[in-house]
Amino acid sequence: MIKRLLDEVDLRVGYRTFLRGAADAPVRGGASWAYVLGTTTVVLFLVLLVTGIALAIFYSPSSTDAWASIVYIEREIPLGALLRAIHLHAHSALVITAFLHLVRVVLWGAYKAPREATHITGLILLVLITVFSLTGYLLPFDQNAFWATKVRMGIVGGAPVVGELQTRILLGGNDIGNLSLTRFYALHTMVLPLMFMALVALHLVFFRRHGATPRPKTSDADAERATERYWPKQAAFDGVAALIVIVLVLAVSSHHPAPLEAPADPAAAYIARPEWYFLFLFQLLKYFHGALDVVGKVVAPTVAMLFLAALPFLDRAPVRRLAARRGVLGVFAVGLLGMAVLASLAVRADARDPALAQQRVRAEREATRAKLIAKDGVPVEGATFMAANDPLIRGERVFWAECASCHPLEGVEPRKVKAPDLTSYRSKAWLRQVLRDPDSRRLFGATKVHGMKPLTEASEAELARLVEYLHALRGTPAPTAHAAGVEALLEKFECAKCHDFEDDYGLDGPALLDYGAERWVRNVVENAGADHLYGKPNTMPKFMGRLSGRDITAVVAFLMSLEDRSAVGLWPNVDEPAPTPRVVPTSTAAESGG
Amino acid sequence: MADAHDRRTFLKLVGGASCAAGAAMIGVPVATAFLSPLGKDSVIGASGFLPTISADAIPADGSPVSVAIVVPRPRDAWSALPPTEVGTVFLRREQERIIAMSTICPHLGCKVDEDAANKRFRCPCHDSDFDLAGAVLTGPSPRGLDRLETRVVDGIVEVEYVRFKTGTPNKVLA
Repeated sequence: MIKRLLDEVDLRVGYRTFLRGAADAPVRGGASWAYVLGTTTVVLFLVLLVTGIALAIFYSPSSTDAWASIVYIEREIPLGALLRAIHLHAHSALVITAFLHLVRVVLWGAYKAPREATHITGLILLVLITVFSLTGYLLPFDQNAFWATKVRMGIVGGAPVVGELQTRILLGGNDIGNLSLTRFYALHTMVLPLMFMALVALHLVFFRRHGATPRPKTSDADAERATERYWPKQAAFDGVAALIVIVLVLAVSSHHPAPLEAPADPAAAYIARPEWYFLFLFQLLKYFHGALDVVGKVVAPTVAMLFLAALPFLDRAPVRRLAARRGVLGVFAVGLLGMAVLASLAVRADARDPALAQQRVRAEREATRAKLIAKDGVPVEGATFMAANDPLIRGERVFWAECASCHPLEGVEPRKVKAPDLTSYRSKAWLRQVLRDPDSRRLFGATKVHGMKPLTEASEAELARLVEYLHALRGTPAPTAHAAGVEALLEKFECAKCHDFEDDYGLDGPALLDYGAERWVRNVVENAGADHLYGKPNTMPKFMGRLSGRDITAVVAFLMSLEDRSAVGLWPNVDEPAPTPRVVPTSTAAESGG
Repeated sequence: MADAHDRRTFLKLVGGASCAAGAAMIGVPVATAFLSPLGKDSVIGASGFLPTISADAIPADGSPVSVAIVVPRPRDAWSALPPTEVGTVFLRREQERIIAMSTICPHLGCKVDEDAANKRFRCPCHDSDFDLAGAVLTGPSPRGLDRLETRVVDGIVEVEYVRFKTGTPNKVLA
């Protein structure tokens, strides 16, 4: 019954002839695992195509919405985060299989006449694969996407004569914005896939015309004799190889989600890094300065591609044995080795870069926070606006720009510590430390504000009650010393001699009315040297008038949040040595990328 | 010979099964995405009673007024929008009561207008006419204009703005 139906269909569309043509395609030299790289690359392309379409039905290529739509995919779409991860890692896998395919072609001399056209279409496909990645990288429109694309546009724009024209065409204008996203999106999802499919078709037509190139040792005559049909043996090899790669991609994807940083922000500098497979080019950029810089940017990659394209014309003898082609293979090997060395140098340099390590911690915190506030919907002004105006994100950016050059925080120390460590600022542990040892190097010992007597003879219980009281002063209403039952203690340790607990009256020490409340912290930020605060010995700049009101509000919100940050470096007990700083920030973060 | 045949069958099976397994693994997240977010509302507008105009502003003679329904913070997938007009309703006095009627034609969802000269409502799309109480006078509409719940809080008329399915003789929440 089904067979009759299929017969009738075949009579009209002739699918059996078509399938037989594919199944019976001769595989020169017989089925081999070495032949699976091409098919696997095509299968990975198909994976990218379908996952890309699935992402495209949610993605919105606009500078206000792009980031938000990605967060939506990750949060609201079941398996959406996995989908993104597959799309990312399948491309990495495709870079690997395509690259291994090229290595095999070079080793086996598969580029030799009459296969020049197959070889050159293959190289163009390799270029398209990198353009896919360059265009796709911008689309999430997070910090990394934005700053990496900035650098890349710098590279494109640095080309002599046509540089400016090139960036204008690519970006759809003078800077990265809505028109860049629509353009990159159209290229990434329409133009490039169509070009890729057309070129794969051409590559296959040329391949079918000349057949596979057998192992270097196998003579053409032997290869002809050993020829098998594609179906079923080579098909089974291809199927198993593709399945293994898909399983690997899924395994990696389920453990390593695609990263998403805070929304792109031209006002918040970020050290961008390219994909792992571009690290060698990125490293190369570091070595060419001034007028030579075009060598790293343009000349070296172009020469490498031209060398590969010229292989069939440089290595013309029909012999394919490795020993007979030492020159060409030697150059190729040196090239590969160079890439590997450059990439590992880049990885090593980054692993040792304290600025990068510091940024990673901050970027992760910003990203987590941005995604959290996006839950309530991203305002029409866009994700960048949303993140930049969030007090915690903005406040932390202000802190690192304005405060971190004197105050240590969470293991990050300035070159010269000139102010108290604000790790877990306002927490009970922090207050306890101030009472026990106010002049320690990590507190006021670093400043010119001195004179408070350490409460060395206070018992643990007394200390705890005082800490409790100081911690409660921020409340509304703040407890009186009488209500808190600490009158006797304040008397005993002579606290009220220097600190006013009932008013903003400046004695020798700061007034502690509403100590630790938003107003108190704001007063310190605005003018720590005020009479009722640290007075004359204070050296902290007056930030009122120096920072905008919005920035002060933000940094105060950030300082207020430090108490609850369980993440890093809680204040140690007084007897424990201070933790050694993990990282030392450099003054300005160099922007670089591949 | 039988061996060679078995081997071929095995290879065919392996080839076919690998393709099917690979396609299924990628197919599941892709298909899930295509079908999402089926169970959830992507565009979220009004819920509960929304304030409109002062009750004093509704004519005592029973003639209708058309007022906008403003949702304070609607959501559209990832966007949180500023206060947005999502539709209009007719308010009028019916004896002592204040009633609200949706301006969405129950026929196919066009916007119904007031025809003040003829003291009736009229849908311009397919010529359905309704009297001031909302009942169908002429035309294809399967039911009268949909009444909405109202209440007066501190002198302000609040309307519970909901939508109903069009094309059905009974009011069914959309």
